[in-house]
Amino acid sequence: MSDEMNRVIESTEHAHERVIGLVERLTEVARPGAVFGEPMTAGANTVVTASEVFVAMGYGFGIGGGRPQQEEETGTQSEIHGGKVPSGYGGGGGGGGSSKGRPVAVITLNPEGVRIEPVLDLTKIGLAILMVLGSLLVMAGRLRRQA
Amino acid sequence: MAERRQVLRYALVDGEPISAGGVRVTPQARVLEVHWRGGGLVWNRPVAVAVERDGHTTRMPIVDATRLVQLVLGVCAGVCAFMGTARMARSVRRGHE
Repeated sequence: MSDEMNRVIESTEHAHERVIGLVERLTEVARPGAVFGEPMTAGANTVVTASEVFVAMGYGFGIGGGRPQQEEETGTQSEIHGGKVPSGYGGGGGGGGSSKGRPVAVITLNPEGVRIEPVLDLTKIGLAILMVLGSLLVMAGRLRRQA
Repeated sequence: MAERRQVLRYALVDGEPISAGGVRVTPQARVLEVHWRGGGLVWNRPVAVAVERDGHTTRMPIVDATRLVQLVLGVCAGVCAFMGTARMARSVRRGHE
């Protein structure tokens, strides 16, 4: 195997190891500590935030190469590269991911008891209302055209 | 030999207990973990807190109000779309007759 091919494989393995390390770190998000924040105390109240966390990622890579072929093997007439079909090795890869977090509730502890207050994401709700209203308007328009 | 990773995990996990004001609270989260060759996903969400007070333990669920509102809106939109389609189909049938 040529030095060139060895270099390609080496660099690909290095990249692969680094990405595996990243995927391993996904497990850290699966801990309850990623969802519940550190308790904060103010007077007699202790407050803990609770959030939803979502992380996804993926990657892929590939390497390939070709050996030089003589004119006789290919059956083609080539004037360039001294009558050899050019050869080489190469590799490539790519990856992507997404992560999001959203507060869900606030837990308050005090001598009176425990209180859980939900957190409303008004932007998400507003967008959902707009989408539903838009769909209904389109539907109503079609119905009117049919009538 | 490398440790064999679990491909799919859906579990209820307990967090570190928090003690304050004579109350001991254990947060609970629901985890969905999927691993595949070359990636993975983790969805972690709070579901409840177990409250221990005077020797009694009660479970207080954490309601995701935003998700609930989104679901209600989605169901309403689905019902409206179904009713509209049924009405449209009825009027088309009447037109053919």
